[in-house]
Amino acid sequence: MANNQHEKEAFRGTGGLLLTLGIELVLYALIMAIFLDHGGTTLIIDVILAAAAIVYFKRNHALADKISATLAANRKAAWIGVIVLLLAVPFVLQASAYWLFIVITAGLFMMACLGLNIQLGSTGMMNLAGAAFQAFGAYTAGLLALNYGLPTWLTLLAGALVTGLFSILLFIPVLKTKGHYLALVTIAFQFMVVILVENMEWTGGPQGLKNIPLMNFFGYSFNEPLNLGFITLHKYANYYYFTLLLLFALGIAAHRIYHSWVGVTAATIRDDEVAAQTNGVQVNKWKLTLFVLGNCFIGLSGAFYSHMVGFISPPNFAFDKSLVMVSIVILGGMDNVLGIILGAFLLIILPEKLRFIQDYRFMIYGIVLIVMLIFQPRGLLPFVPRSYAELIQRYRHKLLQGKKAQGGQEA
Amino acid sequence: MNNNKILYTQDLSIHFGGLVAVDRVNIEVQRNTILGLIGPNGSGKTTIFNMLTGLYIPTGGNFFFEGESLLGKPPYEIARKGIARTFQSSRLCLDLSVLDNVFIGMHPRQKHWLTSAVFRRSALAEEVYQAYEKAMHLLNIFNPELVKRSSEPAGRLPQIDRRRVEICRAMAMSPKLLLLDEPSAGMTPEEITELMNDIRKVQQESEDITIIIVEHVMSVIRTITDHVVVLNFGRKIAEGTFHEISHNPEVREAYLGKRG
Amino acid sequence: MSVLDMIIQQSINGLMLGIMYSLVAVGFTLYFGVLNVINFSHGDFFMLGGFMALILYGIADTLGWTQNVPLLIIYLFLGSMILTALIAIITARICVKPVSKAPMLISLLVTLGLGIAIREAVRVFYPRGSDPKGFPTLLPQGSLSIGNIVIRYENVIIFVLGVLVIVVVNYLITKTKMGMAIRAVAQDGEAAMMMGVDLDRTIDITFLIGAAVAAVAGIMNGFYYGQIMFNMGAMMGVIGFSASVIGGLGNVYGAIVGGILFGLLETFAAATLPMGAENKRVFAFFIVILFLVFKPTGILGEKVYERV
Ligand SMILES: Nc1ncnc2c1ncn2[C@@H]1O[C@H](COP(=O)(O)OP(=O)(O)O)[C@@H](O)[C@H]1O
Ligand SMILES: [Mg+2]
Repeated sequence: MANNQHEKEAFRGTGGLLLTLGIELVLYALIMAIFLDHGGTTLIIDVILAAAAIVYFKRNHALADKISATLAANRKAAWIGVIVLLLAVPFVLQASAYWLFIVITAGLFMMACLGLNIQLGSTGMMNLAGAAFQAFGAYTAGLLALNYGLPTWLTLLAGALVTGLFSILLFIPVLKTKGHYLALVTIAFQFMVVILVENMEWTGGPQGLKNIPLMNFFGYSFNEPLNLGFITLHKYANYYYFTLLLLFALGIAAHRIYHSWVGVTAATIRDDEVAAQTNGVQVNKWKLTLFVLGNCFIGLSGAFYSHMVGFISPPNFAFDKSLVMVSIVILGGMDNVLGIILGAFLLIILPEKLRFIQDYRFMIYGIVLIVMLIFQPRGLLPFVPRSYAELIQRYRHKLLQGKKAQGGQEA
Repeated sequence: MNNNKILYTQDLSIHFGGLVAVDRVNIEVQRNTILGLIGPNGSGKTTIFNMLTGLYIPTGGNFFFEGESLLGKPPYEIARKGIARTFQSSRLCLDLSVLDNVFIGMHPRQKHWLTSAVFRRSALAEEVYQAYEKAMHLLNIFNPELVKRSSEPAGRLPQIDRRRVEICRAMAMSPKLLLLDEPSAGMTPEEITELMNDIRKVQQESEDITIIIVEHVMSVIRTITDHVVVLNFGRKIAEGTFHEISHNPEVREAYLGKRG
Repeated sequence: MSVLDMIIQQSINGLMLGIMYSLVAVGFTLYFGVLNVINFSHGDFFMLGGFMALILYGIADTLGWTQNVPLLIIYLFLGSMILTALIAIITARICVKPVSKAPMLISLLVTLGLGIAIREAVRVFYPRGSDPKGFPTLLPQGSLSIGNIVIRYENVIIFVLGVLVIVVVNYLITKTKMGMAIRAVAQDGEAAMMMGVDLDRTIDITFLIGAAVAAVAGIMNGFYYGQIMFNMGAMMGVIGFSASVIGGLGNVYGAIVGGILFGLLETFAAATLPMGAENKRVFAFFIVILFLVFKPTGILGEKVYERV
């Protein structure tokens, strides 16, 4: 059972640790340099470096394996490194609040796409109404805060739950249709929602909602700069850290769901519904549960957005945005939590940096989408079979103890 | 004794538009036996399996499992009553690991779902560990090689191993009734012999298991079945021991004659 | 205005709109038959049709060829159909055909991506492409009144033209050799290839017909509303796909029936429901969803038994 392969092939000891942290630091520096550079030179250099690295490691499997084994062997240190580096982002971007804002936006896309991935990636349910569900969350939070003055924690929660609840509108279609038809149902729903929001009075019509209270937790306003004593960070730092916290929580939850019977069940439903049924899976029950769960994630991201920007209107939730979400999931790698993060980075942050090609951005976006899907249809980080080694390993002591205890009783 | 019948059908029928695929078929299966279901291509064997597992709703007749009518019950409920099956053209999830494919067979017995997955990992780990041992045990019966390759995607296995994994998945449900739809399709004679031994092993493993097997290979039917039902054009044309039906002129004409 | 008058008036309006939708829906159904792909960029071929006509008109205008209006109209239609079809064939070869065997998700996203690329290319490369573009008024204006019912000449012409196109498409598909090839491939691609049908050519022709017909709809749309916009294809794509599904995907007559039904749904919703004008599409899409759930094979589709 014990999977010791990693340890065998890895760089061992301090060398391995330094290598792990070194890799993280270099990657971090390369990425942050993109933001800090006002032009696009760094970006171009980075792209060239990335391409070179891919080509190099494709030829040098052994080294690539060794490095990934090293990372795996130094998991704890690697995570601590990542967390520290992520916490440092607002410091690095202190002078460029705009980029901090973009990073947060990407974070919100990640949040939504973690949910979409549960639906589309794990269970195979197409949802091209992501932006519409985000609208449910955003308008719920906005209206509750504006009309009833509810506190942020409550409106965020309500945004997530109400969105989940509104998925009921699509229950029957989602269960009864598949493939192209389900795609059409969700697209139709997306358009219906936007048209309705635009034409209803209590949603503010085409003007949307203005002056939505910004986040405020028990008296602490996110609208003030973040004063840490030794340094005062831009007010977006508040939102950044909160996004980070939520993403960690939701990412871990999604990862754990993936590595559980729920993940196995969802994957079976996705790959072969008939096989799932004949093995006793209540396909409808699981589809509904996971559809609602995914929409809660999406709704939360919408609610967050409305409290961060303070202004929402129908164009914020247009079909294009749904399309971007689906692209993130598919390009990043279906049913792969890390893929979502990579996908959001590439599709949200990079295009923002590509402002120097201004107008051509979306056209290039469409072309890149086509090229990627034709040549790398399984996404950048393709699905890898689930492994239970980690789960069992982690609780090994307990399991062994339990076994011993049992054995003792029997004897 | 009546309770020795684990399954029986009453005039089980289904038609698709104008085509009568299964026509008033009556079958009885005795507990802990192996029933062979044979007949030329298109005679309705798979369709009967599909009705018994709830995938098709019969347009006439009824069927009883352990004395209870399961007519109109959804597939998952029938599976939970203890009927497992394999498919004529294998229905494994080829992207998923061998292990995951076997795990789904244990789905009805698993207790730890969303909340455990997120908040009670240790409880889940224990269940996973037990499932893991059971799956490895099953895989080991069929082919020790499968144990080594258990974390590879099922799609990388050769055809014969995929069939074995599919049987393991069905066995993982600990079913009372196992429906095997042409398990030996595409195998060499040696592989078929091996598979039959494996099926026997499976039967010995669990005290209470009844098997219905659809097969074209007569040697298989001869060696492992206790009783044989012959279908032609959706009708039952004969039944009895292999010896009896192999001497039945109607059967010879409809089936054995053609197949040689 | 009596209820009967209202019904007649709305039916006329609905038919007019519906025939336009039908023309778009036909393409969806054809591609699906031959390639088993839903081409979500098809709505953008519709949009391209309008813009091509606009470009051709611009050329004609600078050359001073605008005196003979009937000839000008024929030139606009034929030119735009040819150019749109060419683009459709090229894009189909580059990115639709390669993914026709891939999982549905991939073909869906690739064609959606293609739609974005086409739409954005128009926006970027057409002068001031983000703005709505006025469309020349070439059809005779004015209208005919019968009692309370008003019929615009323009609409009559558009309707007749639409029917004409449908008749021609029907003839091409049922009576000609290439039409037979299309139907044979739709029935069973492998068998058709064994019988000597040239698959690549058939695909080209399918896209040629589909896109040319969509281009006609795009020009009609320009005449009807007097202006066009680079992003009008997205919505039209969804409507066309919806119409082809209502009628029964893969069935050309179904697409026509579906398109007209969608047009009628819209106009009647606009005339009778509260806030109907704004929410007519909400209603129409709602009906589409009902169709997908309760009769996914569409009006003209046959019942199929899902095989296991
Ligand atoms: N879902 C379906 N729709 C239409 N016809 C079907 C369907 N399933 C089976 N049939 C028809 O029923 C008959 C019996 O098929 P089947 O049970 O697969 O035969 P076999 O004995 O070879 O397993 C065949 O004629 C087949 O075409
Ligand atoms: Mg069969």
